[in-house]
Amino acid sequence: MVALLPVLSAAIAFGSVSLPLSTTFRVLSRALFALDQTDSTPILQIVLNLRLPQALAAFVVGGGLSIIGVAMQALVRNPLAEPYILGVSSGASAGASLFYLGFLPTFIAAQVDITLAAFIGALLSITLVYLVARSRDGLSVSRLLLAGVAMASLMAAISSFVLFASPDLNRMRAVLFWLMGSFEHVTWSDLPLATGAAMIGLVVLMSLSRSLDALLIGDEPAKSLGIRVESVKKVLIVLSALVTGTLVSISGAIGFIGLIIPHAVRSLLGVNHRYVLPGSFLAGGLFLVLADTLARSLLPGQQVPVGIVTAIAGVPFFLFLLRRTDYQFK
Amino acid sequence: MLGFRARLFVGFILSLLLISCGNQDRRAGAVSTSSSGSEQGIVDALGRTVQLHGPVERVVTIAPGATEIVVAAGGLHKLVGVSNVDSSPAAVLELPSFSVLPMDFESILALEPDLVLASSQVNDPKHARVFESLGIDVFYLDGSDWEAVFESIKVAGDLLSTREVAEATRDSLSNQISELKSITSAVTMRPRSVFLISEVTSYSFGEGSYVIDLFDWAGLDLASSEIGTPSPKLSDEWMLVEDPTYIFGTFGDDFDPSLLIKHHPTWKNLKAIQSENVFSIPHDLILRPGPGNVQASYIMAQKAHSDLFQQVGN
Repeated sequence: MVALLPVLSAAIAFGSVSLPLSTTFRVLSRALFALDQTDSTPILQIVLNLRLPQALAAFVVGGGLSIIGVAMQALVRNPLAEPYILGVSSGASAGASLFYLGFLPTFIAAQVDITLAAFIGALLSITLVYLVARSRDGLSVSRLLLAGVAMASLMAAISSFVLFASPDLNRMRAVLFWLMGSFEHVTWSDLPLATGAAMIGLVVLMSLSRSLDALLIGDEPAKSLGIRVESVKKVLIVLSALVTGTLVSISGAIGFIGLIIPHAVRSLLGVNHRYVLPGSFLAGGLFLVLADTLARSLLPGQQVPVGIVTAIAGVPFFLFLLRRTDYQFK
Repeated sequence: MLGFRARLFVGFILSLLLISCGNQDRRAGAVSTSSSGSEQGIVDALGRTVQLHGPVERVVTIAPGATEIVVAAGGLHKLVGVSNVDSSPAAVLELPSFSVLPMDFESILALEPDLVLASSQVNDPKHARVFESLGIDVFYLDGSDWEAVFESIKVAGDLLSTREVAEATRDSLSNQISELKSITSAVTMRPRSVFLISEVTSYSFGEGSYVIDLFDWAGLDLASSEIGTPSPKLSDEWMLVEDPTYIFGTFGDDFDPSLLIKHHPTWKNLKAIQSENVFSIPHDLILRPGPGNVQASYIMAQKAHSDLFQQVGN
């Protein structure tokens, strides 16, 4: 928590154009405390309507994806699991591509925007995966994983075909940029939805932290501890669909956060979900805010898709952490 | 015995050696192709010496830029096919077309061309080998900037035996540029302006781009020319700080300027938006170096300095 203030301050201080630090914080404090949001100077616009909502969105999206990563790894008892393992990200990408490149029927396209199209794609994908994995004996984890991988491939193929067949290069560029993940188009109006989804995820998962600990040691031992395993699995899947679908529809598919942050936090705090969940939320949020700040500051006058930065900056750090610590998944 | 790390290192060094040998072979191949050309051969933009098998009567172009150069060189009547992404000039829409991504070699072969003209900017150099193996002459035109395009018009005139038309076109384009520059030389303070390829994702042109010259001819200062990459994606922050006087873009014919604010809400107070100085330029005229660039520059100049053109008219 101590790191939150300096990281958010850095996110507000740095961007694609360099602004004097003193002016930046003076403008921010004046706007926040005097509630003076009518001033239209560029610095005020940049600080208050670009950097601040983007930093806050990066925090809740990073936190939300990280805790869903924790939940998915516990659900499938596999350290490779991440929020996108059930095809959510590919479904969202396919939905966004189909909508934006004009491949949806007009009567549907007229009713949705790119965010809603992405959310519907994500929900459709995970629903199909769930239906395949469900059986009379309960939810088969191996079927869930296999169906998720297959659905991700199918949805990726749909996205690729739509991009290939699109005659509009400008729209194709926009979709490609969206697919790489970015907070560029985030405004204050997106924040309540993103924050709500992430908070619901955190609260529900915290209430299930004991069940998640039990799931890691297996279904039968978990049942013997009084955990209603099948119900918990269903809750985790629905929660994953809602939280990830919502977050991905706002920020695009930002990879690696949900995979590496839970492992990094476990290597520092151990495997108890009472600590792993809030730790992952905070670490994921801070990591994505830093990555987004880097993405906005790397090239003068430009903004690099944050998904590229999370992979380039995050993976070497993660590999270093794995190498240096005595890491255990369970 | 070597340890695991030592073996790994030796393996890595051997891999690097193998890769560099492979590269040397390719370089040697390129040199021998070039030196084997006869004196009548013409060197193309890839450095290949191309010797035509005979007079050129049937031409196929595999890039819109190459098509424009052929038309400017007076070779429209020799065109027998164009790519399916060609749209300019309108006359080429009547010609048979084929896919270029991926390249539809079968359809091109069926058109029985004497010569295929490609653009070194967009066409894959490896396709030259495929055309050669099919017995079709292929020539890569240089379209990297408007000066290269002017030179390519002359080369196309030589290849198609339409040299007189090609030279007349070149002279006419040069005269138009001189005329435009003379009109806009009266501009004392060049307005800072921005070009956007789309209203959604704000790709533009930066340092080293041919578009800087088009703005210069039009008496405008392309603000993004100071960004150290030819095709930057401008951030909203940068736009707010620059606050351009004019925004030009390839937004389409029925462009609604409110779309810019929809996609970039913080831009609503920009000078260009407030003064309704947002204009759409046909994409065929500006998104690639070509003869149409001069017209694009004229359009921008007329929008920004209408008073100067009224004086010239009077």
